Formats: sequence, structure tokens, C-alpha cells
Amino acid sequence: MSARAQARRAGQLWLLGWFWLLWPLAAAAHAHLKQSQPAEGAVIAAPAQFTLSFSESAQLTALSLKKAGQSPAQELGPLPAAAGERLSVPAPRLDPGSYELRYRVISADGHIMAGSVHFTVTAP
Amino acid sequence: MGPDAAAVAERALLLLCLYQAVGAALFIALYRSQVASICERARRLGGMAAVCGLALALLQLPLTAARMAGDYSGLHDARLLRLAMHSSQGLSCALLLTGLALLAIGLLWRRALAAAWVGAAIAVCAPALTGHTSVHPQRALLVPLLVLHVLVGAFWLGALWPLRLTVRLERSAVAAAVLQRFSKLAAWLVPCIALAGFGMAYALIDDVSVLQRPYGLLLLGKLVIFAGLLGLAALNRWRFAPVLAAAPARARSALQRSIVAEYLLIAAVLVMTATLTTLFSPED
Repeated sequence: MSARAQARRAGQLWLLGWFWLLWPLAAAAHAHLKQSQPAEGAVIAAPAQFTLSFSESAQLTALSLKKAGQSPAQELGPLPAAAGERLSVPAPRLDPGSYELRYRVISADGHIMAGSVHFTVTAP
Repeated sequence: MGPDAAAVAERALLLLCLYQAVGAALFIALYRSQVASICERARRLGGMAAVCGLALALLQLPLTAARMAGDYSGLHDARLLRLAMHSSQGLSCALLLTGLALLAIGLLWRRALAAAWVGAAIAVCAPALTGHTSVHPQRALLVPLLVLHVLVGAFWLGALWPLRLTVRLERSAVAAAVLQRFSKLAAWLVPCIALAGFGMAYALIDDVSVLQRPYGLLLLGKLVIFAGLLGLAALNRWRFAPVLAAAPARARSALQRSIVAEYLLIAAVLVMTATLTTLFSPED
């Protein structure tokens, strides 16, 4: 292959790469927590499961629960295997007290978002 | 240090290595006929930066897995490592590794210099494959702007150390000619950094109230440092460089100090960029 043909081939590959880079995707930006069950600041009876609803599809990568005055936090699972806008995880048996539910998710753009939800469980 | 802080530090150092290696390849392409011995040193420095960048890029996916877990247990969690590899960061990291490997080969092995230019072209595209730019509806605008932003930033940072060596080691007439040529080129290219930055901010920021939150404050901080950098560049061009022939000793030391200050300011901008892109988003 001549030098000119090689240069033309390299140019074509470069253009192809740009076309692929610029091809629009359907997703938007970071996933943000829109809603949770229990809600932030809720005072409730012990929940059967935790549900997190996000603005975009997200993959839950870590979920832990910390009771006020106790450490370490308890890792929760099993986590949903697939990404989704609404993610649920079974709750363990909870005694009355204040809790912090900590989560980490990865969104479609590869960004990792961390957050927490505080709630209080009352005696039945 | 938690995995979030470690990821910020890793990204900041990786950006510094990437900019240095890409900038060295560009400096050599532009100035090797004028200052061959300086380009030889730039080649070695750029090659070392590319090797360090490769080592840092290899840490990227394990650190992403650790961030997903919230602690370092993620480093050996097969599920999270697989998730990191299949995310947009995995693709970006693969492109970065390819680009940096070609840069290292091209810069450290004299006969393969062309590989460094191919590597530079690949490596500057890598940041556009992840983060907001990769999935935004206005991706067709954001990707070229980000690539331009990185390319010109790398040209600027990568030229500084060879320019400092030129001022220190070359004859005054040669140093003045190289500085004049660099300044002329920079006068056209450096505004592109600001224009690309403003373009990206315009596309990404929906609400000006973001300027009161960490993402916006870091953006404003970058803008303030950029203004300082322009001031230093103007000082070099119009005050120090013209007197290089007449008062070489004074002008040489002033220019070297000013160039070191420029380098440190750009490094500070890269630390802010790493913090901004790792921990915050315009929607926060």
C-alpha cells in the first residue's frame, strides 16, 4: 500500500472513530435520588424492604444500614443484579431506633453517586 | 484516605501525566528543527510522564470498584471490578491505556516518534468517553469541545518545561525566537481553552444557581486561575521576552520563575478538574 493510500486509510478510520464518538445516546446525565421508602426523616414501623427511586437508570453497588450509636454499619443484600430507576432490597428485622441507610450507585455516564436516607423505627 | 479522595488524587496525577506526555509530543512536532537538544530532553520527560500515566491509568478501574463499594473491599470484589470494566469508564480507560502506551513507545524509542503522535490523538479523546459528555443529548457539541479543551491544555502545559529549559540553556537569540513563535501560536490556541470551557458550561449548566454550589465554585475557581495564567503569559510575551537579548540574565531568571508559576497554576487547575469531575455534577 502506498504512503498516500495509507494516509487516506488512516483518515477514514479517524473519521469513523469520530462518527462513533458523536453518535447520540438515549441516556442523560447522573442518576439522582428522587424518592425513597422509607422517606428522609420518616418515623415508621419497621419496613419490610427499602426502595430507592432515581431520576435515571442506576446500578446499586453498595447498601448499608447504620443504627445510631452502633457501629459498624450492616451491609445489606442481595442487591438488584440489573440497573433500574426503582431499586428494592429486603430489609432485615429492625429494632426501634434511628437509622441511616447509605447507598452508592453508578449511573449510565460512569459517575458514582453516594447518599443516605435517615429514618426512625418506632415500637410496634 | 477513603477511596473517593484516592480517586481524586489518582485522576489529578493522571491528568498531569497525560498533559505532560501529549504536550511533549506536540512540542517536539513543532520545535524539533529549532531546538533539537531541548526536544531530546522533552522527549525523555514526556516518555517518563507517559509511563507514570500508564501506571496510574491501571489503578483507575480498581479505584472505581472501591468507590462503588465505599471502601477498599471493592478492590478485590469481582462483581464490582466487572461492573467498572463494563461501564463507560472501562472504555475510556482502555483508550487512555492505548494512547499512553503509544506515547511511551514513541517518546522513549526515538525511531517510533510517529507512534507518540498517534498516541496523543487517541489519549486526548479518552476523557470524552465517560462522564457527562459521553451521554449528554448535546454530545455532538460537547465531545469536540472537550477534546479541543484537553488538546490545547496539554499543548500549553507540555510546552512549559521545554520552554524553561530553552530560556535557561539556549543562546538568547534562539530562546527569543522560540518564545516569540510559541507566544504567537498560543495567542490563537489558548483562547480556545476558554471558548471550549464556556461552551461546555453553557451546555451542561441549566441553572446559574449551580455557581453557588461546589461544582460551580470549582468552575469559577478554574476561571480565576485561568485569568491569572493569561496575565503571566502576557507578562512573558510583552515584558520579559522582548528584553531577552538586551538584558539576558535578568530576563532569563524572570522568565524561568514565571514559567514555573504557570506550570504550578495549570497543575492546580488539573487538581480542581479532577475533584470536579470525580465528586460533583452540575445537577448536585
